Amino acid sequence: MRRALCGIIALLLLCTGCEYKDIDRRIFVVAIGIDKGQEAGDFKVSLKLALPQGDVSKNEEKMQILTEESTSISEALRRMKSRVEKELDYVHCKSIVLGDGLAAEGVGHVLDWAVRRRDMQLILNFSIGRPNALEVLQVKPPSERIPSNSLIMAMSGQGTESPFITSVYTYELMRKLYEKGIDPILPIIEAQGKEEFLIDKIALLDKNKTRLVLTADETRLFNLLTRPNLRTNFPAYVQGGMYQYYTESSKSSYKIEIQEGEPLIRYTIRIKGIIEENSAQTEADQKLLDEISASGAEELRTDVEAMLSKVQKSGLDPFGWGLHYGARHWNNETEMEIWERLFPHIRFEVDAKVAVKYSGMIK
Amino acid sequence: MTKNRYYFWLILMNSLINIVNFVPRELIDGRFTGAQASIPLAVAAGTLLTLLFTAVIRKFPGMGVPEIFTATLPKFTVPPLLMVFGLLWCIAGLITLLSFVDITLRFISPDTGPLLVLISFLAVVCFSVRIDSHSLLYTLEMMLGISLPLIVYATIKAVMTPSFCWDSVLQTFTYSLHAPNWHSFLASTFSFSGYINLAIFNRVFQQLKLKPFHFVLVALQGLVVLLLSLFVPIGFFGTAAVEKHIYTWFSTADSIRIETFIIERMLFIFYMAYLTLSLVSIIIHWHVGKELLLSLFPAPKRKAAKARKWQEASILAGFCAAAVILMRLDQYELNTFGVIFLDVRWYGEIALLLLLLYCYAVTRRRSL
Repeated sequence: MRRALCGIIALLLLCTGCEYKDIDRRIFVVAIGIDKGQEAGDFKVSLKLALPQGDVSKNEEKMQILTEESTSISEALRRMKSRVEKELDYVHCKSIVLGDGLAAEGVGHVLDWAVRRRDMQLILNFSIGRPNALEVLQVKPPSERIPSNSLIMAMSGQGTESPFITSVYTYELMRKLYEKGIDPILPIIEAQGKEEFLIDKIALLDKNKTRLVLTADETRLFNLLTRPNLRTNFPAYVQGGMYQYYTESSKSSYKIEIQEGEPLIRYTIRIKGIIEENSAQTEADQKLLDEISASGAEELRTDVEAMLSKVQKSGLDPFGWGLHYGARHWNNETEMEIWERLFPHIRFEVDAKVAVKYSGMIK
Repeated sequence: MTKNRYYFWLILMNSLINIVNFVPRELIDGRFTGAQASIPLAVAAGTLLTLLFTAVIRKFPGMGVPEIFTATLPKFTVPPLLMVFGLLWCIAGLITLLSFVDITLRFISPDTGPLLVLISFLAVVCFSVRIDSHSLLYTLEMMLGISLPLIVYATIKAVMTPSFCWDSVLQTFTYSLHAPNWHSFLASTFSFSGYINLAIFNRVFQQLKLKPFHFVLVALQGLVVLLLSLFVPIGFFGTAAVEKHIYTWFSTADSIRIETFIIERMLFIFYMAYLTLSLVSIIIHWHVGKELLLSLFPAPKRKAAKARKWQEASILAGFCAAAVILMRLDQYELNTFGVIFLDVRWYGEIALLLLLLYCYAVTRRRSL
């Protein structure tokens, strides 16, 4: 018995190594850009490759971009295999950038591909690239040490904590694309020259393609309503003076109420702030803090209401109000039809309370 | 003597392994047609079966099912019965094995040949199946000690993820009023089937005594595990897209990001936890299957006879051959196979329970 076992183990040892490739025989794809091709229906796929190096601190960042056009994504990737000497490895790919033109036609195909492939993570960042995906991939900020790291850092919130950046993982996009009562969003990355990018807008999609793009200010309000403790500043105007307060903490929630057959969505926003800027340079006192709070809340209320109405007029539901409604009603067969009828008549009430507690380090 | 807690580990193991054995598949398929209502029913039924089975097998201290059968049932009925039950256990292990080989190939090492993965698993399993029941229970406890914290960590991390969609979970919950669904019910009872391994492991339990509190514990763990199996993937993929995933739970684990740890992807931690758990589960199931089939052969005259070893080896060779042959199943066939087993297993459990009740009645009558 023992001898037989030893024999089996020896056989197993012989089997290893036949398909395993060492790290120096692999080349890592860190970002994929997908644009529309020259001919209708074609894809222009760009890969950003990180070239592994021994010492990160000493060497210059080295990267390579491959671009290939084909009728399908898989075909383009296979063709690129014969343009490099090492095996392309997608396991470390952290972002997929869709070209603006492609996103306007539909994201479903690319998403299906990204989820279906077994070596793609479900936690890679999806985004839209402007003017196209390739130019976004080509951006190489001087502060970047590892290829494509700036994009990863910016999107994950581990580096900059910009109030304008929203990140969307594959599984989130997939969930929202198929779920009734919620519509997907995607962040937009704009390439500005070869060394800089700008991520401060989001695109709202229907179940397939981009329909509306929110401005940077609206994007910030969107983020304020969808995530807690957004770190940003908001303005307040008191007696001709302009004040900016920094949000130390923020939270928001909403309730859907049906009043006499009319739907009402009541948003509650609570912010605690600190004065960061004071154009009048006057001395602050208790009364001024209260006035700034009141004025700030009023500013916020009108801005949020305007943004919500804009979103509602587009017929899209990026906040998931429909799902929220469905989750609280037990008439499963009819609830979504009822909601669709209610949707155009939604009224919004925003209850914003800002409490500016400190005047900063000086009075 | 073996402590009661080992009995609970057997139940917990089955409960946790449900993710690999297509139970979430059945629950998720029935999420609009009564899976939610099936869960509490399955908890009640499962706990009741556990209670009855434990009560009746306690009357035969230190005896496994083969000994009980040979002592009470007519001679000609024993071999076919043991054969059928032995095969059931063999298939239980097979499904976990095939399913896990498939998961390994999909998520961890797509480049390795399927046969190589299967043979590596079989080597470990066949070697361990021959260990005596006592040691296996100790192994089980140790392996649970390793993998349970990881599984709990993964689950907590999943539920705490900021983008976990509670509205989707609530939306599914509003479908609870639907009448229970038979398939989801059968699948859910799998979470409680751990007790059935007592068919052989009862040999090492002398004074198995369970208090009502223990059954509350059994019911509670089953309920929690089943609810998590159904609702956590829905929180990640929503009510609609969740059915698109083949191995829902492994895809869920792939969606969990760990910000501050050595590795970023929860998938690998989750895989390691389930690797150990699946292997132990396969070993336990095949151990029971092997012992049942082994009792078909006449008992050896001397202990540690050479003939015994050959009998064991031939049974295990049969199991391995079945595994290699069934590797040819494609994804849908494997799924159907798993689901059919989940149904058949339930009837098998009921049959075994009834047989044991009959055996108990016979021994009572004899002793009067």
